Amino acid sequence: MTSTSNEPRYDVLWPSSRKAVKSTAAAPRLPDLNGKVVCELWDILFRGDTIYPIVREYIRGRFPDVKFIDHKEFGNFHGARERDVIKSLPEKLKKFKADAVIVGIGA
Amino acid sequence: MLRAAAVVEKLGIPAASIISSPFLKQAEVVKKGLDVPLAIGVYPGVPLLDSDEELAKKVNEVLAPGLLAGLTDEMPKDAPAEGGSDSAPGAAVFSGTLREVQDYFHKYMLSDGLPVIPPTREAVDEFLRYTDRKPEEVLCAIPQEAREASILSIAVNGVMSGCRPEYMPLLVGIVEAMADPVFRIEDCGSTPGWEPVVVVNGPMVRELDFNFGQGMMRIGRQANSSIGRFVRMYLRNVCGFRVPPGAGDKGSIGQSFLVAMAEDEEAAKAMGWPTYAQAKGFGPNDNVVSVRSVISVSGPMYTAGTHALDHVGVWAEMMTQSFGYWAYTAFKTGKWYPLVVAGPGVAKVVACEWSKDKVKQYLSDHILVKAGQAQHYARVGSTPTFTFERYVEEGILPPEYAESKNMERMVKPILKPQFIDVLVAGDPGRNQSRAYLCNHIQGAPVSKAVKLPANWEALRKG
Repeated sequence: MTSTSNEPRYDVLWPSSRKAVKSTAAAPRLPDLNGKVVCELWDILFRGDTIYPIVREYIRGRFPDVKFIDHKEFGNFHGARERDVIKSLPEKLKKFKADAVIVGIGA
Repeated sequence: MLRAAAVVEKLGIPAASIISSPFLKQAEVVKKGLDVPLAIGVYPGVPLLDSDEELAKKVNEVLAPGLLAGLTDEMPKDAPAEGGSDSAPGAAVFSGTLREVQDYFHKYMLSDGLPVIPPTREAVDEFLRYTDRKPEEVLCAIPQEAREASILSIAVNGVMSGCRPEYMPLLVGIVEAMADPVFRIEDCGSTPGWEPVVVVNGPMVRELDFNFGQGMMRIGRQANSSIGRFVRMYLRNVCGFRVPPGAGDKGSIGQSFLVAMAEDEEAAKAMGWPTYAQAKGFGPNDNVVSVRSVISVSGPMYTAGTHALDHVGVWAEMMTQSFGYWAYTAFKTGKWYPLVVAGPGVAKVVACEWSKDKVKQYLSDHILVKAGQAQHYARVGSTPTFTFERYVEEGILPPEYAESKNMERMVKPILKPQFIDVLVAGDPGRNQSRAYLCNHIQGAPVSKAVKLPANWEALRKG
């Protein structure tokens, strides 16, 4: 749309605001999962009971010595207990000597 | 869900998250708010719509390879954020005519699609006069983009939404309430598409000319309408909940913004009932703003009769009919917060016989749903493994919810009567009420006292 020279002009401020978090680098990846512990976190949604076992077998097919820790060890990290379960994660991951984690399911 | 993955990555442990393809754009927005690179394995499509064979094929061919790569391969760089490049707060970002200003904000998804009032320095400063807080003061880092909920950002969005400067103390209170962890603003973009509603109590209801009578939930009165619009504007511009072509808001169908509610306090007090705010522990002369989610609204609840039960009995029946299918969310979370907006004439009849607490107790006891219906809808909606036993084991439901396997049994979604709120408002000349349901723990009710500036009276006298 074109404007005419006698129309008022407005200098407008930005309606958003600064990001308030500092960037964190991703954890180092693990090229070889043999001998590693992979923990499963599940939000009890969207057929995870079917999906996780298939994922487990797929990864085992490539890294036979990988060990999985079932989601039941961690609890449902979504919903009413979300904050408590997430708060307990560092200790539980340490307990199980977690090397990697699979988190699901966002759908 | 990605919040859990971010916690894991920050512990130095690689994580890979399962995301279905329709949620990838929202995941990108959430990732930026968490500001840690997160690996994603993609499930193509909607898991609940695939056969077992299709699901297995997709997991083996796409999802599992993606998850494995996420744990083993180097992380790719992320794309830039929505809403244009970040600018300096308080600096002018654009100069143009009224139309050009609209186009600028629309282009960068910094508006709601309706014309906005240009947030010039002068207009924003006028709002800032109505608070003792400094513009650079930050209430918190607000989800989901984790931006600063600053006093300045509240004023800018208040201007854009068509608020009046004197609404500023309420706007600050509203953002404080939405930022309260109990409200769970991070869930505002969830697929059910809930919308916050503001409830106003105190002398400000009349002083700022809120409509609490006939047509109270219609657009049309400046205070109610512009404050309701402000909430959605803030959720878009600062929190990052944007519908397509944005991405942060995944409300599948959603609903438009709700105008602010206000209570007919004189009517409530005349009948001896505490106001909505008094029931939350505030004094009768406190100015209070409350926020709560609305996931569903009942039909108009017309009732007649001279006894409390004539009315409250119908409310229980109609609320069961209107909200019954959504009751499974109560059983998954243990929380369900209905609000009854009771027409003043009806409330007067009820109040002659029953206290507000008795109304709440009756509704809690008589809103009942069939266990089998709740289980079925939970399983098709999101939770194929839903059982009452699971939530009893998790401590969310009391043991009696798992004492029977009879799917014909009736169960209570409202665990405690104090989860129910009652607001007296609407047309005093008609026998109608309505009920509004929160989305369980998402958008749970939160109330905050409104802090007026020290020179409020002088400012109002102008």
